[in-house]
Amino acid sequence: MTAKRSKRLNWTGRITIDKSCVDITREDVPVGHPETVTIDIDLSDYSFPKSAAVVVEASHRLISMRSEFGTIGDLIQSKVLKLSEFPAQSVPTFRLMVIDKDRSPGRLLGSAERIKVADTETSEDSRNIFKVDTRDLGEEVWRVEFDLDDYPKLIINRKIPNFLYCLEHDKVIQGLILPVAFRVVLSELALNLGDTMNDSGEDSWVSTWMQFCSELCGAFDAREIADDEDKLKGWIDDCVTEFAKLHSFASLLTKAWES
Amino acid sequence: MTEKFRKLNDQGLDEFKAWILDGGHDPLPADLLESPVYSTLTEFTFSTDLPELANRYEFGKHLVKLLDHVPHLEIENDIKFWSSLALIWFDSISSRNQSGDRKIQEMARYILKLNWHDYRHLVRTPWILVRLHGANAKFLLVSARTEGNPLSVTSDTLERIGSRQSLLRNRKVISVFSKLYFDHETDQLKPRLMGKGPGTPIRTGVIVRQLALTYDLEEMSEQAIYDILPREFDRWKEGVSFD
Repeated sequence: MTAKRSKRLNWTGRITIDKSCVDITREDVPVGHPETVTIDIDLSDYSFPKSAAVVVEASHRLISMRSEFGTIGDLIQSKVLKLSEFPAQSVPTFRLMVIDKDRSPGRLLGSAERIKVADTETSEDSRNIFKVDTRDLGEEVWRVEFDLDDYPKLIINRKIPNFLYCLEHDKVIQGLILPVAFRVVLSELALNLGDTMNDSGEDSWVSTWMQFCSELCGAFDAREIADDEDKLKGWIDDCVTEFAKLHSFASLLTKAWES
Repeated sequence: MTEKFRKLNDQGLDEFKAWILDGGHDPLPADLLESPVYSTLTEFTFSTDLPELANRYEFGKHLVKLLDHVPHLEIENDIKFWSSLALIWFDSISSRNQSGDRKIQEMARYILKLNWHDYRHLVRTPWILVRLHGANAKFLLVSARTEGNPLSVTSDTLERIGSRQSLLRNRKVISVFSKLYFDHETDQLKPRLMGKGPGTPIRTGVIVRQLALTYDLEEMSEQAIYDILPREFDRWKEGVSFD
């Protein structure tokens, strides 16, 4: 599969800081206490002005917390942060910002976006883009359901005998259902694309899907396409095409019918 | 009535959902909250009597006061808590059609769903917005529409920016747009606010998102945010000041 790479333009002059410059690890805390993380920052590969402020912002849904890390010239390289503003079990994501304090105060000179706590990164092995569940759907055969805190669920009708087994093993059934279900999820994702990129923490499945799509179709700038309906439609079509190609759905279906 | 609050359990929540799916024709299943089979006792004590309230902003103010002793982190994402309040106040937060039948809206209006449409919940959203933004939340909660029960009428402004959580949580940005979009003298949303044109709420999320890539909006003053807004917002700026 040939990946199509889209250009990433950054008109603001803001430097994209590599996420590996920030290491966030969860500390053990007694049950009932707020989540606590240690944040380590290394910006030695970058040449920002010494006076620029370094700030880390944690956010989850409507809550955000900021923590100052000094300046580039006098950087606090490690800090323990108690996430006391967040409800239990919420997993915020983090944004590192380097902020101009001299020439144009408040302007971002650099940032690293959507940084996650180290042990919450999705491992390659556990990366299933759909969860499959069964339910009595009446005369409906299948549907996709969304819950932001969990992966999209492909619900199939449990009244249909052996349906789950067929979905797992039968390429014909997969070819008829999965590309459509895939498109349903992308359409939902597209509705909120800009926000899901910005509003981190609430959407681990979103980042997995975005990553999967960028592997299918090449890197893309969600913010750039989020506000352009034609680009969005094109992006969804491209992703579904590449997804179908990856699994050779049409070829397998043809072979099955021929035999 | 002030007593320890009971909230629906899983079974109670399913019953409430089934009642909504059935169209709300049967009597309101408020007794679910009296039965230990369908509900559990919480540690929170407050009155569920609802005074007459003019709009959803007043509803939010009432909720913030009513729940000020309840740890907000414990209830903020509690689906059963907010869905139970929606059940108790169902007839206040919904309307009826001319033949007297309940007008049932989408499930997310009554059963809290923690996704990017959680702002659609009819009880939690006024609480959360007034808690966060105080009087500046008014332009997100009141509506120019007057049909039906005032607490059932959601704001078109919120519908346009509600899913933009980074915008919605920024107190200074919301303060700026409260001044731009709400006429505090007439206590009403400014006319010609809706639509897709330049400077309308539907554009707000897009513009703020772009600005957030360039500026540290959380720390900027309201005046500074106001000053960097593109010219398309000029039409709302008359009479606005940040003294």
